[in-house]
Amino acid sequence: MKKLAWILVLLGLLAGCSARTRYAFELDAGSFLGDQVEGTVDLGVPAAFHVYLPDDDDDLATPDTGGFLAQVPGPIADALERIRLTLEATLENQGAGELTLSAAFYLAPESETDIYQPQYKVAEAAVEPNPVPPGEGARLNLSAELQSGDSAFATVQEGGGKFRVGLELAGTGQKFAYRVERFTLFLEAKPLGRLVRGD
Amino acid sequence: MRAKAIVLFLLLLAFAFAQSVREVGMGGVSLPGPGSSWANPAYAAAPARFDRGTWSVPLGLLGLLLPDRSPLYYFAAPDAFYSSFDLLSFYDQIAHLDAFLINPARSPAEVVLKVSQGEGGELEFRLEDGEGHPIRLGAAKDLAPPRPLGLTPPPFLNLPFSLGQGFAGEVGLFAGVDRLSLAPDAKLAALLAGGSLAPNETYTLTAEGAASAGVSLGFAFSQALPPLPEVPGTLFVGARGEGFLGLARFESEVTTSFTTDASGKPAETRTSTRLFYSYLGQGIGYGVRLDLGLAYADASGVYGLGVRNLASFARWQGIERVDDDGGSTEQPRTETFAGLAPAFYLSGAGYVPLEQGEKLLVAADLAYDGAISGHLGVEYPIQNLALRAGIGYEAGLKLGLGLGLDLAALKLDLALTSHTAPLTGGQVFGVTAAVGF
Repeated sequence: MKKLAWILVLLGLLAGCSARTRYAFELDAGSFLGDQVEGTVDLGVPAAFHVYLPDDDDDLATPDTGGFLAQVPGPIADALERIRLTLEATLENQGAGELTLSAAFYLAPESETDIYQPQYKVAEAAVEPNPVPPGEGARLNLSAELQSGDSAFATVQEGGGKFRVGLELAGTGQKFAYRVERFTLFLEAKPLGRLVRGD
Repeated sequence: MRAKAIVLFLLLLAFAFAQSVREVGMGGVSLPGPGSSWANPAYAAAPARFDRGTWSVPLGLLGLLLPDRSPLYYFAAPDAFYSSFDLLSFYDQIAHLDAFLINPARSPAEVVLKVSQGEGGELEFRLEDGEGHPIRLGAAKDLAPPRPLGLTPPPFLNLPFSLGQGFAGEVGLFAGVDRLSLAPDAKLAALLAGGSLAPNETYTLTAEGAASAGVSLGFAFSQALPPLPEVPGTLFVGARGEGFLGLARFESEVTTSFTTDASGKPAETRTSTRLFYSYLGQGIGYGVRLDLGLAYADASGVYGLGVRNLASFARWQGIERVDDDGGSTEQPRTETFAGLAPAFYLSGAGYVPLEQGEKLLVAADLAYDGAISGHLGVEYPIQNLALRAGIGYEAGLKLGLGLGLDLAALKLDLALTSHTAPLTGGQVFGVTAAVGF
């Protein structure tokens, strides 16, 4: 606890120290996708699909369900006030038929091996337009804000700042290309405010 | 007991101001004369040509009534403290207690640490404020440069008394910050400016602070030398021996570091703290030092060179507490300094005749006491009014504008001050005042 206090003091000094100062940790999750930040999913024939990002082996046809492990500083997690997830992506239906597609965020404890379970889903949105006509492009905008009381919020705090996060693209179609333009996690805290209030 | 000592210490700090409003209005320049004998003992015998006979009103105390810069709201109105208090504003106000700060330095509303992965798989970091501007930790290095242990802060309350025959004594109270710095090492600074983590490296952030308060007792001798041939003015020499009794001293050093593994990911974090504290009843400080000075006065002005702390001895006895990953230790510690750590103070001022018959007061000073500072100021009289302006450098640019008014029964000095905001940059403006009868 003493070390935590000193880290908080240092964090305070970073900004000059103010109880009202908000400290945020912005994780550019999209950059952790590497080459998977864009890709093409080709099912050969129209069918239902589930694509999980990130994918450990870069083979989108064999989904990997662990997501990626994120870690934020302990003082941020302890004094967390808000989590904001944002996804912006573009798609192009390259198949012969229509494409229906939705995206969902999942956030799970560090120890979970399959994060794509219903209890870990925190937000979901469909492409616009949906369905996407053959040869047409579409945009996908998904955002979620988590606060105290949300189970995912508790997951981050109880894990001491360690958690797993992933993105699921699901729908029906034959072939489509996607590009993730923005995928960020923004965690906001007021550690000094909490310290001085004695919460 | 410890809490009372800390409160007492803070109260002592709260009165730490030294310059006259006339000097503040002239950009912070020190005017030669008996009022500056703390920096040059020869000035005690020099003519008091620039003494206005006014007393500063500590307008900064008004600032400390406001919730954005008063820690007392933590006890009196916690909600106001939580929503408004800003330690940077508090520090800025208490470091300029002679002035009510109109716009004290403010911490950024948001500090954002951005983390991403580079194309090579390395982690990249960037520290920004809420508006996307980079926060430069290097700007917090040497907010208050280190002061030698043997050199106490200038007294904020000084009671001189004459002993005759050129001898004089003075009792003073001093309090001030001796060190304040937050510094990342070069690797961490580069990392937070948008760099990436390298494998098997250690990144370190160090915060240091020190402050002291006490009572000083000085005995000085100053005298005019006999007239010298070919020298139109008068030379003055002065020497002072000053001892101090330390009432409180606090030092802290906090170091936090993390080391990356072979893949460039953070693997190990270390934090260590070192505290040294000494306060009356628990510890004590004492010391002596020798100051020398030389001054010269003629029709054109008064000039001088003072050397404080030419030789000194200082000792503080207190408790040192060290916390690190191996646990914590607390034990008595004595810090001692003996030797040479001179602080130089060069100043001069004089009246320059103008065509209209008025005399323009021009003053300048240059000092070194661990860091260089300097000031240049002017005063232009218009009947019973005096307009003042000046510029100075004290770890940042400062500007001054002032006004003096001489009425039949009242003298009034007002000054608008300006200095560079610590850590965040930008200019902070303040108002200061003095009255005389």
